[in-house]
Amino acid sequence: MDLVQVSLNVIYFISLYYTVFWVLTYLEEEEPVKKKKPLIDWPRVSIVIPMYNEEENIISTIDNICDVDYPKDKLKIIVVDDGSKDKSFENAKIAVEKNKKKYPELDIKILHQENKGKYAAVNLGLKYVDTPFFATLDADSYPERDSLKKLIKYFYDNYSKDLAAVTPILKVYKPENLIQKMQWFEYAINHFYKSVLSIRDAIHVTPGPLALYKTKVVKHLGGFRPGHKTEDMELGMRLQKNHDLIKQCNDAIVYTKAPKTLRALVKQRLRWYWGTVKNVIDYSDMLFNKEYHDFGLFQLIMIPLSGVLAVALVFLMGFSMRDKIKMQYLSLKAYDFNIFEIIKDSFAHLNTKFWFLNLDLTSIAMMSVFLLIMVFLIYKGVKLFNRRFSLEKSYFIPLVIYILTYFYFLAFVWLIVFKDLIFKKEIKWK
Amino acid sequence: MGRAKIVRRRYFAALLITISIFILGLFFGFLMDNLRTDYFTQFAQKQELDYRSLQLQYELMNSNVLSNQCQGLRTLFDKYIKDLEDNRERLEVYNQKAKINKEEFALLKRRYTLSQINFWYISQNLRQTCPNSSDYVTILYFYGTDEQCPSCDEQASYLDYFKKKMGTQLLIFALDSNFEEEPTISVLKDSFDVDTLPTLVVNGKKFGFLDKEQLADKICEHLRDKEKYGFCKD
Repeated sequence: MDLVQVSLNVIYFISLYYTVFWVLTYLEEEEPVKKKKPLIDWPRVSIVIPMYNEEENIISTIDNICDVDYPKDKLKIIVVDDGSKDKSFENAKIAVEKNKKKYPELDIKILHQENKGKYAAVNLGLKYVDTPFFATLDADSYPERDSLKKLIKYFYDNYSKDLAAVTPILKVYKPENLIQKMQWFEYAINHFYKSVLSIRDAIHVTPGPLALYKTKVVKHLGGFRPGHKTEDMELGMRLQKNHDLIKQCNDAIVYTKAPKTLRALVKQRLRWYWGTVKNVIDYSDMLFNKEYHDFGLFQLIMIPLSGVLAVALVFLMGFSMRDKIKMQYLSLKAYDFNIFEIIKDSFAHLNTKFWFLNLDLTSIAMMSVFLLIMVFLIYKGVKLFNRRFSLEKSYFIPLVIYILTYFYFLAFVWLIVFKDLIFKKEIKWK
Repeated sequence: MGRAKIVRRRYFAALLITISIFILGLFFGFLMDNLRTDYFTQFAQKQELDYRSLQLQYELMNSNVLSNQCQGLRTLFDKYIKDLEDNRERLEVYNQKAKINKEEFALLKRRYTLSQINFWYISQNLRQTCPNSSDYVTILYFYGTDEQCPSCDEQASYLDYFKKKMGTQLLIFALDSNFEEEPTISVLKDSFDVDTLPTLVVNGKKFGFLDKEQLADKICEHLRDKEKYGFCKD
C-alpha cells in the first residue's frame, strides 16, 4: 500500500469514527421532549437588531418581530444602525414609528452609531437591555410567530442554572434558485446534526437569527467581541469556556435569507470557516481538555479538522486518479478527441465476461457505508424541517446536485481559507 | 444539570464499530484478490494447454502428418490470442490493485509473460508456414515505468487505438522490461538490442517511440489488405 492509499484510509477512518460516534449518540440519547405546564407569566425579553446597509430588509424584519406572538408589554425591541451608508436608518425609523402606533404598549427604539462592526452594534443595544432574557436578530431574518415563546419556554421546561443560550432552527427564507435550495438541505442536515450536539452540550455557535440568551450571563462575560467577524461563534465558544450551556430548541423556527449566487455563498462561507479556525485557535486551551467533556475532547478539534480532511481527501483522490485521468486524456488524443468513435469502439470491445472480477468490493463497501449515513442524515434533516419526510418535486434536482457536489464545494472553500490563513490575509465582512 | 457527562463506553463502542467496518472492507478486498488469483490460475493453465495444442498442431502440419490446416490453425490462434490479450490487461490492473496476494500475482504475471512470448513465437512461425492466412502484423512492445519511459503511456494509447481498429490483424505482445523474474525478457531485450524505452519491434524491425501516423505507416507497410483500413495511405 502506498502513502496515498494509507492517507486515504486514515482520513476514512477518522471520518467514519466521528460519524459513528454521533450516530450512536443519537440512537442512545434522543433528547426527551419535556413539556411542562404552560407559562402564564411570560418574562420580559429584549430583541436587539443590528443592521448595516439593510434598507431592503429592515422594514419587513421589524414588522415581523413586532408581530410575533408574545405579550407586547413584555417585549422590548432595540434596532441599532451600525453606520449604514444607505437608507437603512430612515427606513427603520419609519417601521419603528409605525409599530409604536400599532402596538402602543411595545417598547421599541432605534439607536445609531458610527460603523464599528456588528459586535459593537449588539453591545450598544445590550446597554439598553434590562430584561432577564435577550435575543439578537439579524436584519434579514424572520422568526415564525410562535418561535420566541418556544425559545423562552425551553428555558423554563429545561431549567438549569447553567443554561445560558437557546438557539432556534434556521430555515432558508423562500428558497427560489438551485443555490438556495441546496442550502435548504444543508441547513436541514446541519440542524439535525446540531440537535445531536445539543444533547452532548457540544454546540459552538449561537447564530445571529434569534439566539436567545440569559442577559446576566452575557453581560457578566463582557458582551460580544469582534470574534474574527464571527461574533456569534466567538460568544458560543466563550460560553463553552465558561461552562455555560447552549441548547437547540428543535421546534422554534426562524427563516433567514440565504445567498442567491455562488459568489455570495463562497464569500459567506469563507467568512464563517475563517472565523471558525481563528476562534478555535483563540480557544485552543479547550482542545482535548477533559474538563469540557465531549466538546473539548472530541468536537472542537473536528470543526477545523473536517476542513483539513476535506481538502486532503480531494487532493489525494485527484492524485490517486491521476493515472486514470492521464490515460483517458491520451485515449482521447489517440482518437483525435472524437468521443463518439471512442464510445463505439469501447462498446464493440466491451468484455463483460467475469465482470465481477473488476469490482472493487472494498471501495464499494466503504462508499456504501457513507451513502447510508448520508441518506440517514438527509432523511432526519428533512424530517426535522418538515415534521414528516416530504419533499416538493422542485427539490429533487437540488438534492441530487447537493449530494454530488457539496463536498467538493466545502473542500474548495476550506482550501481558500487555509491559503488565506497561511498568507495572513484578512477576510472582509461585506 | 451541568454539562452532559462523558460516556466512555461510547468512545470505545464507536472505535469498535469503525474497526469492524474497516476489517469488513479488508475482508472484501481479500475475497476479491482470491477470486482473481483463482481465475487467473485456472486461465493460465488453460492458456498453457492452448499453446501446447497449437504447437502440436503446427508441428504435425510441418511434418506432413496433417494436411494443410493453415486456416483452421489461424482461427484457433486468433481465438487464443484474444483471450490472452484481454487477460493480460486485466492482470496488470489487478496486480496494481492487489492488496494481499502480491506474490501470487507476480507468479501469474510470469506465466502470462511466458505465454505471450510463446504466442509471439508461434505467430512468427505461422507467417512462414501459412503465408496466405497470415495477413497480420506483430508488435513486440517493451515498456517501463513512468520515470524510465515518460512516453510509454502515449505509445500504449496509440497501440490500443490500432488494436481496437484491427482486432486480430494486429498482435501486440506487451512486455514489462523491468520484469526480471522472467529471464526470457532479458534475452529478447539483448537480441533486439533494446536500449531505450519504449521499443517496438514491428514484424521484426525495431523502432523507438512512434506517433500515431508513424505507427500507422509501419503497420500498413506489412499489411497485404491495406484498403480495409482508412488509416493506410496508398
